[in-house]
Amino acid sequence: MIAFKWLQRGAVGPFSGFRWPRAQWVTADAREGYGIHACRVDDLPFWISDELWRVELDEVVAQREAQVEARRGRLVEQVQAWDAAAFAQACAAHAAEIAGEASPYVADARRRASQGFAGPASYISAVAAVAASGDPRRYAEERRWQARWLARELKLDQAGALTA
Amino acid sequence: MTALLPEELTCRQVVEVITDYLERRMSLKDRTRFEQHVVTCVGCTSYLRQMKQAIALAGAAKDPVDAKAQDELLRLFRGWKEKK
Repeated sequence: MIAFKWLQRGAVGPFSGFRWPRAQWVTADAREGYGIHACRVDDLPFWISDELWRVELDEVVAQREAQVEARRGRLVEQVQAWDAAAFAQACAAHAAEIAGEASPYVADARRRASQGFAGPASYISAVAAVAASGDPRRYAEERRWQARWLARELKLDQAGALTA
Repeated sequence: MTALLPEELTCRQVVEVITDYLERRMSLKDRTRFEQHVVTCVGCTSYLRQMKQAIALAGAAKDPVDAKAQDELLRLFRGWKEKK
């Protein structure tokens, strides 16, 4: 299975601290929940980090809400088109269309975007949509909009291929 | 950050459960909620990093805490938890 993986600068796992080798297969802990976590396109907005990589997974053990877990994986290539600032600004602008510039959440999303914090900016943008409508379902809708933005701008497809 | 959504953790909750997270004593669901909060929160990202650094530094210390000091620290910690 081809999927995507967010890593910190230098190909480091954001929670594990594991530095991923290029192209080599990595085998994870056999305990459920401690395998190799990766994203389908729709999962991407929930796990934003510094670098986005296309990964090949083997022995997929679970496909859960917002993540896939496998026993083995390897980095295939970095998605060079990933631009954290552009994504954060797009999220904040979309939130402003929905919630209006007067929303304090929109102001907060714009502030985080200007600081280069794409994860917080995208999250706050989704919360702005909830706050404006009073409907918690808008959170997932906004996250789906963000995933579509990433797929379009980074030329990703749901099967994990780069469509450029 | 304050959670507007029912499943979301607050920063305060992250602070309360961070030891469980670091000691791998959380369910998968709770761990995922924890990590999703951290991804979206600059303050908690920083806090988690500091905690990991503190643990790494303490683990690398050449002089372990002597048994008497350890007992005293544990007594104070348990007393603090009971007061909460």
